[in-house]
Formats: sequence, structure tokens, C-alpha cells
Amino acid sequence: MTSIMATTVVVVCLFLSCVSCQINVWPLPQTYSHGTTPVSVSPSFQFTSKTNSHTMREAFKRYTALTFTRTDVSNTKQYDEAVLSTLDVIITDPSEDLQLDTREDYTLVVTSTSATINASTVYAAMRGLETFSQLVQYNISANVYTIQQAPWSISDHPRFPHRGLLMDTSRHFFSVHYLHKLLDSMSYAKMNVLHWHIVDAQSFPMQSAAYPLLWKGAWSPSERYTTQDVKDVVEYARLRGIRVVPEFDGPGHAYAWGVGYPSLLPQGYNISSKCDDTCPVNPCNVPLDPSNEFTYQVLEGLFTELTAGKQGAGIFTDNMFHTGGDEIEPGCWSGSPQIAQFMKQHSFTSYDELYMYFVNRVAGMVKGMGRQVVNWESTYTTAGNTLDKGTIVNIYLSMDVMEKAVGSGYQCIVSFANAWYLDNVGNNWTVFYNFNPVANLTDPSLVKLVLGGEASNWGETMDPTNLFARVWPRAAAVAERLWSAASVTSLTDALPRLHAFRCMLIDRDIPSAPLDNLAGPLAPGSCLWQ
Amino acid sequence: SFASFAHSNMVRPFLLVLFSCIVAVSYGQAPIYVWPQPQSATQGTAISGLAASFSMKSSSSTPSADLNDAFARFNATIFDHRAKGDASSSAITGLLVTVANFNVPLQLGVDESYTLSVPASGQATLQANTYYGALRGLETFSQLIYFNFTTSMYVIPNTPWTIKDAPRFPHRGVLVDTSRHFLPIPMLRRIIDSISYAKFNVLHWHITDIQSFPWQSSALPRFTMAAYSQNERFSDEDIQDLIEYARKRGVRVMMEIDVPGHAGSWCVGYPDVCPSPTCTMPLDPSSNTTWTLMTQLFKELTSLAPEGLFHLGGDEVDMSCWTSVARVSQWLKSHNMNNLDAYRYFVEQAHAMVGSHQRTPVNWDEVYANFGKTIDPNTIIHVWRNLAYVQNATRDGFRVLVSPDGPWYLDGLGTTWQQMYALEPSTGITDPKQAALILGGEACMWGETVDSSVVMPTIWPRAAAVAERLWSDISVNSAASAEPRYAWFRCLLDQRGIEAGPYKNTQARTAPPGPGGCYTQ
Repeated sequence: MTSIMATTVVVVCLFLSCVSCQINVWPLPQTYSHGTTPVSVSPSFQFTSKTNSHTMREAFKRYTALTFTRTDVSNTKQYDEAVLSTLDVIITDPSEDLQLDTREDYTLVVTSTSATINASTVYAAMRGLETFSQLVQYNISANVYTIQQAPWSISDHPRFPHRGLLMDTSRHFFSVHYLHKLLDSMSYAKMNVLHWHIVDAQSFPMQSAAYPLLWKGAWSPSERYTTQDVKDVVEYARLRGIRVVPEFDGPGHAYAWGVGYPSLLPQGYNISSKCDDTCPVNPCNVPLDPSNEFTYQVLEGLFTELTAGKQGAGIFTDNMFHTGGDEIEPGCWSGSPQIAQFMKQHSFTSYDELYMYFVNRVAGMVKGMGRQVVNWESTYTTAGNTLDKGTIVNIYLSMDVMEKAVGSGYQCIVSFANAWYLDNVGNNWTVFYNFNPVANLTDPSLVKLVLGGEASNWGETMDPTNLFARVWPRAAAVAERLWSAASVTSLTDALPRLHAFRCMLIDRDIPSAPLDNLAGPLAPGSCLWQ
Repeated sequence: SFASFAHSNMVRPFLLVLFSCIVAVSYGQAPIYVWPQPQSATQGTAISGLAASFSMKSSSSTPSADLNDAFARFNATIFDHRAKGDASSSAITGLLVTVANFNVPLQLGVDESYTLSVPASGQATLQANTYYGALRGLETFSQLIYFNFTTSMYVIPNTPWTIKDAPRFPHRGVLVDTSRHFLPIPMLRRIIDSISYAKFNVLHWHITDIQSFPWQSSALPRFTMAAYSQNERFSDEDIQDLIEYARKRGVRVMMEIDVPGHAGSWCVGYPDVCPSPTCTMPLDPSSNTTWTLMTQLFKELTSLAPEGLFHLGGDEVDMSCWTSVARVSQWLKSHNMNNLDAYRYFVEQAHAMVGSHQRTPVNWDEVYANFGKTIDPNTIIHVWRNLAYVQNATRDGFRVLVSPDGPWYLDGLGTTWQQMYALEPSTGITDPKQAALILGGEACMWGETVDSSVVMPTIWPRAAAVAERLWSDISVNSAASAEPRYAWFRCLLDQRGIEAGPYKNTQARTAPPGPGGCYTQ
């Protein structure tokens, strides 16, 4: 399928005999063709749809503002061609449930007199609207909006269903304002998952009604999210077709839980070279106490609050629920007599068994709430094929592990550290772009188990100062890898389009870094070449 | 562990919210968490919640669109969480704003004074002589309000408050440079928002320079050929809209067209204003086009910008092209001019041109250094190279603006906020009449290494140091005392969506060194 489409692209381009087949849409649509006629867009242009939906109307409002930033455009026709005055959106499936399997395929046709999006769902329509918005250009000399190279015919769908950005709000706090803006920017690149790494060892910023002392682990009394803030983020994301997958990492990366509830941490742990509690300085790796029933009581209470205990409900409505499971330091468990006693009772002979006891109990809990568990690959590397088959393995260290996991039937999400960690500031966009998450998979049934991937925005050395410049434009490389056809790999072809996308981000008030220097430009110049 | 948080001084503003009485006992007089520090303030020890029905109202029977828009803006800025109202009888029920005269235009010296009274319960009041004074009072009021996460309520600690405030200097600006890198309108709007939070009242718009000419002039359409690209341009409407956006926030927009140096981008569209294709600057005095172009340009720009001050640059004029290009040197000879005469001629012509549009010329200090008292005494001298020019120019009766290269140049990434804070514009001036000629100053965000990706954290939080120097009393000059407030203001900016860098940065806009809270980094 993919290869046929790629061929189509080539054929179309040859037909038009264009040199680079350059269109300034990011990520590149699966198939497209265009003509040579410029079309001007009416100052009274409107998006229309027979679908009566709040979500659709909100999207129209957004894309009207994004596409037509100037309110004073000329009323006079600038070209001899007819003027485009509407874009009609037709939606096949009116359901607005947003999950992994929500369809995002659309077609966009723009002639000199009409424009139409045919979309499977309202979220697919948003992808089409984004593409449309990127085709519209403002001609400042003529004071008119235009679409070049009409007629356009675009048929598009994502290569992978899960195209995410991990956002860490524990190492530094980001007010809801930034999360909203981040979600805006993700939608411009057709990313559809916010993996919200909301808590870690360093801080616990989120309110819980069930356990109201948890957010004592916040950096300060004002660096916190109320439950309503969280709900607002989830709804803000949904309105942009973005799922929010929360992560509550345990038993490691959890020291901040113990600020409000000290008994969640192992009693009597010994500080050693392996066990460190000097938060906020890394590693600060004291894990939760898996031997204490109170630990499970808190997790169950918190997760029930967040999921309402059933599918599609609660504060986080996504079917996926990430429970971390990475980087456990048993060195902190070794000093605790309670843990020693507990292990004896359960005849555990290794800390791995204790670790997996925790992982399995938490997984059972989360499954009971109608959610699919996501874990970092560490639980799979520890448990192998005894790990619950329903667990989605989030790969970050080893692509070999991914091949093994999908070979054994596990679904995977790829956040490969060497390629897709945004905190690796030495990696420029080409490193992100060049990485193919399914490079070594040939069997299509195995490829299908790779749900997609994520650009991971770890927050140790990131705060509002550099958030957007750290994410953009590099996350766009991941967005295109996960959306566009497998054959779209040329750095040379991508470069001018990425420059254009970066300029667009800046025009939309997303402070994206220059492509050639993350820390800011080194000399005067244009966003189109820096 | 969390010791660094629990024992930090930074915890004080929050304890103020939650346990203000205890803080008052433990720490003595609580600092006033408002930036820049008001001229005078008294506070109490009560904590007052905002009632559910809290609203801002004008006492005037005639509605003011400006004030209503301001209320909407401040409501959106202050109330960023959904909160419960305080249902007790001691709640703050509203803010009544009285403006003596809504018809005062925004110009240099506009009255920005205000009096804000927040009782322990009932209605708060804000009184100002002008709309722009009311804006300053609203900003102060917004900074007194905290969200209490535990009770889900907005509260004002340390009531009752009485704040009487007015700026020390009338001209408090931030310079932005849209030539070295283009800054799109949404970013310029956000910069205007952010500077209004620190009670800055001038955006000095260095719109063109050598590298690009982003203004799409409708009268002189060839200028824009020197824009970086199609999209990196401002239309006349963009400029007008931005000026109106700024005015609503009490920010004057002072345009700068730098002549005769720093104008190399002009010759892309109009080659005959430059001495030669390879020797492009300064502008060619022998070419009639130069004078026609300047006349038309100033006419158009003054029609777009109502601001009474017009910055004509005049800095860094390297006159060697006037010597080396025969056409120019011959013209000079035939007019009995040397290079310096021609430079002066440029300055005088430009003054006359903007003067014909009732604008006051502003020039960088080279103009004073070269021509001293012989130029139009109405000229405002913008000192950047040496503070001695502040003393000398005011002695000669000129009004001055102060932007010392080094202390107040934000593109100096190694300049710390303490250095910015320490600079006193009136240093060395004892005569109050002379001191009164200092109109204020500007923090300068030159754009060579600054684009949209980094402009905010390069400006903030350091520009706040300049804002306080220019607003607050001369005695407010201890960086050590200001530091907790400075850290607090940085967090306020972050919370409002303005990307301010860590306040402890010794190198501006660098990332935080490790995990941490906003008040501790």
C-alpha cells in the first residue's frame, strides 16, 4: 500500500515536471497532486459543515484565526481566477470518542472555485484543516490571501496511529498556559498524543482529592495543577485531536510521592552509592515501598480518581495508562527490614521478583479500570515474555528489545533515546529525521505492532525559558517520520519544507529554534535559512 | 531531599499567602511583592478572599471601551484557574476604578500616577488622573492577587493596602530590532504585553537597519525588496494595529529610522541612495533620491505613528565612502563641505523633516558628541556609549535618554541583572534642573543573535531590573533586597506565559542547570 502511494507521488511529480516536488506542508501528505493556477481567497471566506458539532465549530474558529491572521485584507479580487469563499467539511463518522484507533484519514480538494475536505472523523477533518491552513499564503503586496498551484488534490492518512510528545512537568513546572500552547503546536505537526510525564522523583505537582497531601511534593505552593487544570488540559487536547496519556512512574522515579506520605518510601533505606535521596539533584532514586499495602492503597485511590474506575471515564479518558516501571534502584530497598520480611513471606529471592510483584499488581489495578497498561521497556527486559501480553512496551533503550517484544506479540511505542530524546541537545533535526522505528522489521504483521513513537522532552534542563526551542523544530522531524510514507526520507527534500514549517511556527507565536543552532541564531538572518 | 525548597527564602511569598501573620512575626516587615516597587505602600496583616461576584467596574457613567477592554484583559491574566469565591462577609467584592479624564492622549509625560486602596473587606478602589495611570494601578492590583491552591480561592494577602504610586521617569522603554531578525506581529504583541507587566511605557521600534528592511511602505514599495522574505514583512496596517495594541496597554511606540548610517538595506530597492554598490553606507547626500526618499518615508511613518518622538538614529556613521566615491566627494567639494559637514547636514535635514510633522527628534549620542550645542536644542540625546554624555548634554540643556552599552544592552548575555539594577542614570549629576532633563531610558534588545526562539528569555527577567530603576524611587537600589521580589516577578512572568529565564542565570537565556522550582533557580 505504502509503496504504491509513494509511486503515485513520483508519477504526479514527473507529470508536472517539477524539480523538487516541493510543497510546503509538514508533515508531507501521503499523496498529492497540484496544478499551476493561483487562487485568491475571499476576505469573507468561511469553513462550513453540515455536521453540527461543538468540536467542529471550535476547530473552524481556530483555523480561521490561524489561517487568516490579518483582518484587513483587500476586498478586491487580485487574480483573474475565481475567488475561493468556502471550504466544506464532510464527516463520515460523527463519533467523537478519541482513542488510539480513531481514524485520521482525509482528502482535501481545492479547485479555483471550491474546497472540500472529506474526513472519516472530526479529528481527521482537523488534520485536513491543518493541511489547508499550510497551503494558504498571505501576499503582503497585494494584501490578499492566496493558494498557489491550484487545483490541489490531497489524500492523506498517518503511517502510525500513535504520534506523541512526552512532556515532563516534574523536573520543572510548566503552567497550564504552556501545556495549552504546546498542544497547539503539536496539532500543527499532526501529532496526536501528549504523553504527560506528570510526576517524577523531583516533584509531584498534581492535585488529588483522594490523597490531598500528594501535591505537597510540588516545587512550591504555586507550581501545581488543580484537578480542574488537568481536566482543562485533557479537553483542550481533545479539541485538537490529541490524546493525553498520563504517566505515573513507579516504583522508581517516585521520591516526590513521599513528601506528602513518607510511608510510601521504604522505611530505613540506607543512603549509598546506589541509593540517593538528594532531591532535586539527580539521581534521587528512592523507589516506592512495594512491601507496604498503603502504597497500593494510594495508587488505587489515585488511579480510581483519575479514571473513575472504568473505560472512557474520569479525568484521563484515554485507554492507555502509563505506569512507568523504569530504572528501579533496589539499593534503596536493601536497608529496609519490612521489605526483607515481605520478601521472605513471598519467597522472593531477588529484587527483580519484588519489582515485578509491584508491576503486576499495578497492572492488574489499571486493567481493572478499563485501561491498557503502558510500561517502559524495563519491565519487559526483566520479565520477558511472562509480562502481561496486554502491556504496551515503550522502547527507549534498545531497538533489539523492540524486535524481541514485537516478535513475541507485544505492542510497542518507540521513544528511542539515541534518536528521539529532545534533551540530547547535541542531536540536530537530521538525527531525529533519519531514525526509522521499524527499520529492521520486514514482516508486515510485526510492523503493525509498532503503534508509533514519541519525541521525549525530559525536563531536567528545561523550563519555560527553552521549552519551545527544545521541542521545535526537532519534534517536527519525528512528526513527519510517524505520519508520512516510509519512502519520505530525503533530508535534502525536507530541509526547505522544514525551514518553512519553522517560519510558520514562529508566525504562529511558537518560539521554535533555528535548525542550525538550538541555542539561538549566531548571526543576523531569515527564519527561512537559519 | 526537599530541604532546599522548605528552607529557602523563596518560600516567603507563599507563606505570605497562607500564613501571613506568622511571617510578619518571623521576618518583620514583609516585603511588598509588586514589581517595580511602588513609591509608597502601607499594608496590613489580613488575608482577604475575592468574592464570587468580584468584578472590576468603572465609576464613570460614560462607558470607556479602553477601560472595558483592560478589565477583560486583566481578568484573563489574573484568573487563570477556576476558583471558588470567598463567601464570607470579609470578602473583597470588587474594584471600582475612577479615571479623572479619559481624554488625555498617550504621549511623553502622560500622568501615570494612581492610588490603590484594598480594604480588608468590601470594595477596593483605584483612582487615577488618566486611563494610563489606571492601567498601572490595575497592574499593581493584579500582582497583589494570589491563587490559594488549597482553598481554590483567589486571595489578597496583607490587606488593607494603600498604594500611592507614580513613575520616577516618564520614558521607560525596551528597544526591539526587527532588522537583524524579523519578529512577527504576534511576538511583538507579546513583548508589548510583557513590558506592560513591568510598567514599561515605550517600545522603541528599531524597524530597519543594514541587514533587512521589513517594512512594506505603501508610498515607497521598493524598500521592501530588502526584506528577508515575502513573509518577513510588516504592512502599514500591521504597524498601525500594533501601535493601537500598544496604546491600549499604555505603551508608546517610538519608531526609529537610522540615518545616514545603518541604512545599507535602502540601496537594495533604491540603489541611487548609496554611494556605490560596494560602498553602500552612509546614504549619499549627492543623490536627490536620498532626500526625496527620506521626505516621503518620514511623512508616511509619521502618518502611521502618532508618537511625538521620532528616533533618527545618527550613530556609527563611517564616512569613508563619502571620501572614496568620487561622485560624493566631488559633490561635497562643490558644496564646500567636508564629511563632518555632510553628516551635520543629514542630521539637520532629518530634524527639519520630522519637525515639519511636529515630531521631536531623538538621536544617538554621536550627534551630540560631534555637534554639541550647535544642533536643534529640542533634540533628545539618546546616550549609549558613555554616561559622561548624560552629564554633558544635560549641562548643555538637552533632554536625554539613557541606554548604556553594557549595563542596559540585553544582547550582552553576560550582563547580570544586578549590573543592570546598579546603573543609576543620574550618576554624577547634582543639579536637580539638570537631573530633570533625564527623561528616562531603555533596555536595548539588539537582534544580531536574537530571533523569536530566544527573544523573550533574552529580555526577561533582566529587563525588569531596568524597569524598576526607571519607575521606583532612587533609594530603591539594593539588588540583594530586591532579589526575592525579582525571583517572584520572574515566576509571575512564567506563569503568565512569558518565557523568562532562570533568575540566577549569569549568562542570559541559558537553560536551568538541573531540576528545580521556579523560585529557586
